[in-house]
Order: sequence, then structure tokens, then C-alpha cells
Amino acid sequence: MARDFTSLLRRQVLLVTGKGGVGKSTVAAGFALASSRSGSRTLFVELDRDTSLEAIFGTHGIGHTPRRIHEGLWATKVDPQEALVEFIRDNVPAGPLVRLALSRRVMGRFWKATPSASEMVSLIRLHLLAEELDGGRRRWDNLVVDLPSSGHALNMLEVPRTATVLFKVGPVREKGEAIRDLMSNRLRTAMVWVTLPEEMPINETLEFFPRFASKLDVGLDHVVINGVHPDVLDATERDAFARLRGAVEPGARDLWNLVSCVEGLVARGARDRQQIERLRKALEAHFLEIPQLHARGPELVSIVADFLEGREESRRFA
Amino acid sequence: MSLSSLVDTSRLIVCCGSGGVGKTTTAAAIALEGARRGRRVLVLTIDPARRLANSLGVEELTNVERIVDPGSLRDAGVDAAGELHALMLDPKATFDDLIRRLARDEARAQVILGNRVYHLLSSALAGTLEYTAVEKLYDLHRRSIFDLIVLDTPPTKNALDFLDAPGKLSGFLDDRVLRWFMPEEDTDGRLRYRIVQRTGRMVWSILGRVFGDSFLEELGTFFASLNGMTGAFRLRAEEIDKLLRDEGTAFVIVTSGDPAIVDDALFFYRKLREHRMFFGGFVVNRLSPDTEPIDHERLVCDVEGLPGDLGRGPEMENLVRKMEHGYTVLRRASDGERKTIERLRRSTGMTGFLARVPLFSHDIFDIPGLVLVGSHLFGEGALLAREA
Repeated sequence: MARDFTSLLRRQVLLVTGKGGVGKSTVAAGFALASSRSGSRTLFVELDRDTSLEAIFGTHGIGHTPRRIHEGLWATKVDPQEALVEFIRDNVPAGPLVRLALSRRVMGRFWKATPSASEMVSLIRLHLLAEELDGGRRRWDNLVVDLPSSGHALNMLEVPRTATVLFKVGPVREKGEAIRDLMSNRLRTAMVWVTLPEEMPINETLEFFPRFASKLDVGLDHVVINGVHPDVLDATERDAFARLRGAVEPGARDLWNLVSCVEGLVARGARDRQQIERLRKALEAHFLEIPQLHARGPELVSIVADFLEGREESRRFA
Repeated sequence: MSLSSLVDTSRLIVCCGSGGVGKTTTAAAIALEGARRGRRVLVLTIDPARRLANSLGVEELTNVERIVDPGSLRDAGVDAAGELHALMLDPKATFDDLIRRLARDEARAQVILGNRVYHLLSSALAGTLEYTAVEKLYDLHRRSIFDLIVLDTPPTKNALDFLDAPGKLSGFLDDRVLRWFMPEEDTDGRLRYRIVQRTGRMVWSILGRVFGDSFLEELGTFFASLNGMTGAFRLRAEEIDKLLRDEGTAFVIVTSGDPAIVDDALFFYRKLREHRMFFGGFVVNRLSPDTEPIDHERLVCDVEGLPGDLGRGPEMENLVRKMEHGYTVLRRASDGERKTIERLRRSTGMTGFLARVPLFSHDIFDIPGLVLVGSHLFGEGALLAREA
């Protein structure tokens, strides 16, 4: 088992996805923090419009323009509307008239509903950020990208390929090819999957992992298993616990209650272990486990970063 | 109104909330209770866990409702006076059906179904799942086969995705946009696109430069074939909207005790109010089990009182210390959840029910599991918020 996932940060772009509700954005933020801790100029890129960055970073008003969170760490939430205007501005020599046309209400509704338009311009924006130069070198050492949840992420990442099929010429085709090149470049881009040790998220992992591999040419072989209920007892303690459980009488109320409470915890830990075993048997990948943590916001992100760096292996009941 | 009365009186119960909070299981358990109470119930699920789907008998995406074998209900101790049916949504098939229904004739439908823009729209468009879910719902509702439909909505953090789904699609099919793309025949017989307004002309030229002309032609064909259907689309969107606001419709918000998930639930609650849709109540899933208070001194006595010398020695001492630590952690978690639930109560002015379901030590994937969930939803744990 890999104890340190920061090797993933050797690539410039790290894409993070997983089923909704598994803590994907927090894990992504943990990667971004770990990256900035190592001295890399890091940008956290939010592509999932449903995610509240305020809750994660404790910073208000993170928008389309990268905003500094602290030393070495910036964050941006890509706004498809702005990305579109930006794209048209860079690719269609028109100027104010274009802005006027695009700002019309009907046009706005059209773009919003046009299949895959916002996905495409969001990826174009991501590509732009990855290529951005600052004084002759790349502006961002690391881009940690919080993708939408699995199904939406797959759709989104397929859009550039669809675009190259659909568009024979023109800037959209060129961008589509450039994005595909960036995604499939194993030296520049890596992907990590986040799951919980539970039935549904593990099923979705087993279902989507091969689909990402076959439909997208992207390097995906790392899985973060989040929210693991730790084993409360080790092997010798389990023996002693079995003896205790056999001997305790309901009359000894406090001990009786404690034993039934720990029994529940043991059962939960065992259930998680079973699911993790199922995943490991079915999937050839590197795994890293993060226990269930009772922290929130920046504090939680910081602990998650510790785990990703392999510094918190012994932290169990935090 | 309690969840039991909702099950008795509603024609539609919509279960909504973030992903991963047990929405599908909750919807299925509510539907099962409806069947138990003698109603003809359909649970419309989206992407259920495979084992749950299996036990409901809907392992394939047939897009057609199937009755759940009454034998398997009886085996689980459910003496259903009514019927439980289940359906797993197939978004693409639902969309195709809709096109066939609204198209003037089969030939026109075929043109649309084969169009590449349509393929993108019906499979890749974010929101397609939401739209097809309400579309299928509307279709089933109109057929009036069921007394009660329980809808398991797609997982989304953004409530608007679901509530606005019908409007979003008809926005895309806005006549004013469509007009830009209406083809007309040129004198030399080639299709050209009529540009009625100056804006349209300019937009067209921008789109041409961005996407290339071949895509535009495809887009034009797509819009042209939809010509005449947009009114029907809009009408349908309006009717779906009416159904969601109908007095026989109730929304149940499913959440967990996690503070961030509860924030989403409250957001959804406010949106329901804004949209003037009927809020039935909250189901809070995956709660830490209630723990009895444990006193350290009495615990030490209990350990000393164990038969023989079992309670003595460093091994047992160590174990008990560790168990106490585990207990403290659990206690802290359940205290946190209690506060979170309190916040739900306060923020909602205590309208609607609040049902609490614990985190089970095994996954729920069969009828007996649904019965277990139901015992918490409809049993003593499911108090009205104002009573608790």
C-alpha cells in the first residue's frame, strides 16, 4: 500500500473525481495544500459548480480570477460564462460587438443549454491556465482540479474528443486536440479517484474506473479511500474483548453499555474492511486510506493533507 | 403531517437531497410502506445499488415498471394489501420516447433521433438526467395507473437542477433562438439559414467562426426538425411544473447528520419554499446510534466485579481504556449530530416531520433491509418535529 500520494504531484495537472458525497473536493483541496507546502506554486481549480469553496478554504468570494488563499496556494472557480467570453475574445477577432451579442439574454440561455458548451469552455479555461506563462516559465507548478462527480466528469472529459469528431476545422477543434494532448500526457497529467468504503461508492468505482481508462486516455491508478471507520481493536484486544463480552452481565450496566457500543464500532470497522478488500481484489491500483475525521473546513483539509503526505499513518481516533 | 399520513394521502412523493445519503433506500422504504397500507405504489429509481435493484426485480434498464414479487414481500414479513412496483430510469430511452410522441410523424422523429446534436443533448447535457426523470414521472402520472409514485431524484447538490429542469430545456428550445436557425430554400435549391434579425446575423457569423460551418448545418437541421415541437415542449414543461406544485405532491428532503450535507438540505428547503412546493419533512439518515451514558467510576466497579480474575491485569485494563476512548469519540459524534438536527428544526420553523434513521452495521440491499429502515421511518423514531 502506498503511504504517500504526493508523488502524484510530480505531474503538473492532477484531476480528482469520485462519486458525489465521498469528500472528493476536500481530498482535492488536501492535495493542493500538500503541493503548496512542498513549495510549489499551486492553483486549486474548481470545475464542479455545486461545490462551495467557502466551506473548504474558509475564504469568501473565490471566483473566476485566481485568488490567493495563503503563501503558495491560489484557488479559482471556473465560470463557464466568463470562460466562454474569454474564449471568443481570444479566438474571434471582433471585440465589443461580440460582448454585446453574447450578453443578450436569449443568447445566454442558448449557451447555458447548448449541449456540452459549458463543459468545453471550462476545459479550455483549464488548458489556458496550465499553459499560462509568467516571466518565461509556467505560472503554475501544480494545478489540482476538482472535477464534477464521476458521471458528469466522464461526460465532461469526453467532450474534447466529441468536439474533434464534430468539428472538422476551427478553434474548437484545435482546443479539443490540445486538451486531449494535455490529458493523455502521463508526464504532465495524473488522475486520482476518491471513494468511501461503502457498497454504492465502491460499485461506482468498479464500474467507472475501467470506463475512464477505456474512454479517456488518462493516467488513473490511484484511489483514495475516504472516511474509513478504523479498527477500534487490534488482534490481541479482540481476544480480550471476546472474553469480556462472554462474561459481562446486563446487571453491570455501564460495562454492558460500553461493550454493546464497542460491538457496534467493531462491526462498522469490519464492514468497511470487507468493502475495502472487495475493492482491492477487483482493482489493480495504489490505495490510500483516510479515516473518518470529525473536523471541518480548513482544519479538515490540513489533516487530509497530512494523510496524503503519509505523515498521519498512526492517527486513528482523531 | 406525519410521513405515514403523507404516504396515505399523497399521489406523488419526491425524495431529494445530496448524493450518498441513502435517497434510493429511503424512497424504496416509503414505497414499501405505501404498499403495506394498501396502495398501488411505484418507486421510480435512478441508478440504485445493484443489489437493491435486484431485490426489487429491476436489474435491467427496461424503462418499464415491474411489480415486485409479492412472495418476496411476504418472505420479509410484509403483508402488503397493495402492490409495490419499481422502475429504473433509462434517460436516453425516455428522451427518445418523448421525441417520438411530440414529433409530427415517424420520419421527422427519425431525423431528430439520428442527429448528432440530439445525441449530445440526450446523453451528455448536464441536467438531462433531471429532465428525463421529471418527464418519465409526468408520463407515469398521466397514465394514472398508480395511487402513489415515489420518485428518487438524481443525486445533486444543486436543488435548482431538479426543480428547473423542465424550464431549462424549453429555454434551449426557445423560439427566438430557433428562429435564427430556420432553414429556407435558396433559389438554387440549397438550404440557407434565414437570419431574421441583425443580432441573429452577427451571432451566426460568430458561431460560424468558432464552430465551423459543418457543425452549424447540423445544428440548423436539428432546430429545423424541432420546428413545431417547441410549443408542445413548453406546454409539457408547464404541466410538469404544475404537477410538482400540485397539492397531492410532497417533497421529502433526505440528509445525513453531516453539517455540510445539512447545509445542502436547508438550501433545498429554502428553494422549495421559494418555488411554493410542498415540503413534507426531513429524513435524517446514517445517524450514530444513541449511546447510554457511561460513568467512569461505576464502570471500574463493573470491571472489578467480573467473574474470576477476568477483570484484572494490564491486558483488560488496557482494553477498557481503549473502549472508553472509542465511546467518547462516538459520543462526541452523536452530540454533534444532535446539534445539527436541532439546527434543522430551528431553521425550518418546525414544520413537517423529522424522521431519524441510524447508520446500520450492514448495507441495506433487500426487502428485509427496507423493512428495517421503514421501522425507523414510521415507527417510534419518526416523531413530528413539533412533538419532539
